[in-house]
Amino acid sequence: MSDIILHIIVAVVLFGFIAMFALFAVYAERKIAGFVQDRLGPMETGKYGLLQTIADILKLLQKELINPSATDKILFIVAPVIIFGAVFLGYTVLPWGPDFIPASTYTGLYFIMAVVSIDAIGILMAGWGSNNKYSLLGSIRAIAQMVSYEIPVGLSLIAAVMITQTLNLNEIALQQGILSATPIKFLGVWEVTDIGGILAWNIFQAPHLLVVYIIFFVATLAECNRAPFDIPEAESELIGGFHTEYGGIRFAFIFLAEYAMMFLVAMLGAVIFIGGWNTPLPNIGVLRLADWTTGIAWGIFWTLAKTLTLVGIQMWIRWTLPRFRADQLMSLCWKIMIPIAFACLAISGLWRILVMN
Amino acid sequence: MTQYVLPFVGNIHFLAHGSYRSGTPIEKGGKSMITLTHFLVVSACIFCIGLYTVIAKRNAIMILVGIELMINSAILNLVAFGKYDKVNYGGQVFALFAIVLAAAAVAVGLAIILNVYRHYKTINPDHITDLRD
Amino acid sequence: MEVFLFYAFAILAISSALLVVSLKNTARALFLFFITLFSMAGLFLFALADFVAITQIMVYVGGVLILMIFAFMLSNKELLKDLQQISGSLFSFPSWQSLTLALAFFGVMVLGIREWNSMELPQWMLNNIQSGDVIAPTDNNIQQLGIKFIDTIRTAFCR
Repeated sequence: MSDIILHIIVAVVLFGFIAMFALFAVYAERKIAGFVQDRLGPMETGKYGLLQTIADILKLLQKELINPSATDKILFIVAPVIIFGAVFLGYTVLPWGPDFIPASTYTGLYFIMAVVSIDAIGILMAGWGSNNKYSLLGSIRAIAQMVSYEIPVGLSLIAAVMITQTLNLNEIALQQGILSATPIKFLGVWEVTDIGGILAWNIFQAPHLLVVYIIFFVATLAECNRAPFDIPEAESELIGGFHTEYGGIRFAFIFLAEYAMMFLVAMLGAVIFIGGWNTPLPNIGVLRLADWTTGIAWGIFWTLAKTLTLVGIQMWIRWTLPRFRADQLMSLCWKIMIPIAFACLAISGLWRILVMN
Repeated sequence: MTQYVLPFVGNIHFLAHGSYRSGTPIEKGGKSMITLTHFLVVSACIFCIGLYTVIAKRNAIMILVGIELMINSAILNLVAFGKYDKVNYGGQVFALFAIVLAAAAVAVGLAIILNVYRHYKTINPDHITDLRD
Repeated sequence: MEVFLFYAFAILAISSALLVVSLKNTARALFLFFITLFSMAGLFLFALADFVAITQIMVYVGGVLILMIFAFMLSNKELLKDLQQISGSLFSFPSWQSLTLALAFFGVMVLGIREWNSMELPQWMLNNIQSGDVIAPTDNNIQQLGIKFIDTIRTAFCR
């Protein structure tokens, strides 16, 4: 019985964290947008506009729940639940510290990929259930984009897994630092298991993983429907895309799901490619910096630092680049990313056989 | 590795229940009460529901859904028997091939349906009766 | 607890499959098929096949189901003009011929299962249970499956 209570507490804590992060991220996004566009952003509510997001959430929560009469009631109501539920499921297999993970399974990475596929069904439900031309077109474009970009994500993850030899995210994080059970070789030649730090991360163990990481980053940006890939939510083209008809707390859920997905893919990339909860400080001789900065609390700190940096980069990209046209988007995926990902896959195989025992 | 066990919750691995490297729910000691027959009965039910769908529905896409239900029940059967085969993993390997082939079959079937729709403007199989245009 | 969960998944799978075949609104039926596939994946987990379960979700839900919903959307006359006909009746009643056939088939299958139950387990299963070659919940299925795939392909196709 205490097991079940522990499970429920973990789920509630994760949900609370996602909600806090969404509050913080919306405020940060508006401030970053203001900074990039040479203006100040929200400044009115609270000092420096800090209470702006709370005011927005309060507004959304107290809005009337409108069910348009021509919509398919059940599909319209269930769609935001599936969209958010799918993304929330993915948080169960991400490690926050050494052995500090809700569920350490042998199929962790594969589970996250399946969960991203379920998100597509939720968006289809939202578009169809709204009974609205613009919603339907928006959701069809969103699905075409999401399904196409799952392939580069999958290929880049396979290229990384060939190096790590396991799909267990806990193991992948453990293998990139001083707690590793197997010897780590920087660029395949210099043994750094005891030095740890930045030299032990996956992108330095096998250097083509840097290219793989860039492909992963861009493809997951498209998976979240974030700019510059945000045709599904193009405010100036399709009104709102698949969430046109949603208002109040349902819209808040879809919004929350988008920010949760941003954090999820940023943390996934951090765990697989740049060390997860491992410290970037190496052990230099007497100064055992890596030993001093590894632990559960330090692990959570490094995870949050890396992930929030990546989320900041995602927001920065959004406010810098213009939106892709639909055909440019598709050609980027199929004609550029997939061949490069395949080439990196082949290089991974060769690296594993020839360089690492 | 084990010296970094969490200091807050004592010496318990976070959310581990015994062996934390598990991918499936673990029974708390004792033998499993789910015998092979349970799986076979569920699989038979779903197979018959799929069979009914194929025979009685007048929408070509629902016929495909029925075929998918039948294939799913067969895969459940394979996996249930495959639990007893650690030497060859035959059940699970065959199940994976079956999933992939079913997906390919559905893709081809849907292409045929869309082409037929373009010509006949309906997907009710009862109305598609000509042998050539 | 485990038995309760198994029955929950099984009842969910069977009832959602029944709803899929009896709803008149094809769009809702297709989205309900998602629940059926999800609960079948849960049943696969009880047979200790985690890789097959997640593959089922990725391939079936993320591929086949989306394809079917797209095909359904593209084969509706005048799709964008009036999207949903809110039809009168909720369920489509079964035609007695197909119902009889399906129930008869189910009867045959249940008789077969009872016959199989009354016999002894097959020899290979008894051997495996005795020698402990049964899949345990703590096995690393993915690694073994990978090895078996490459071995099978190597011995089957490269001779």
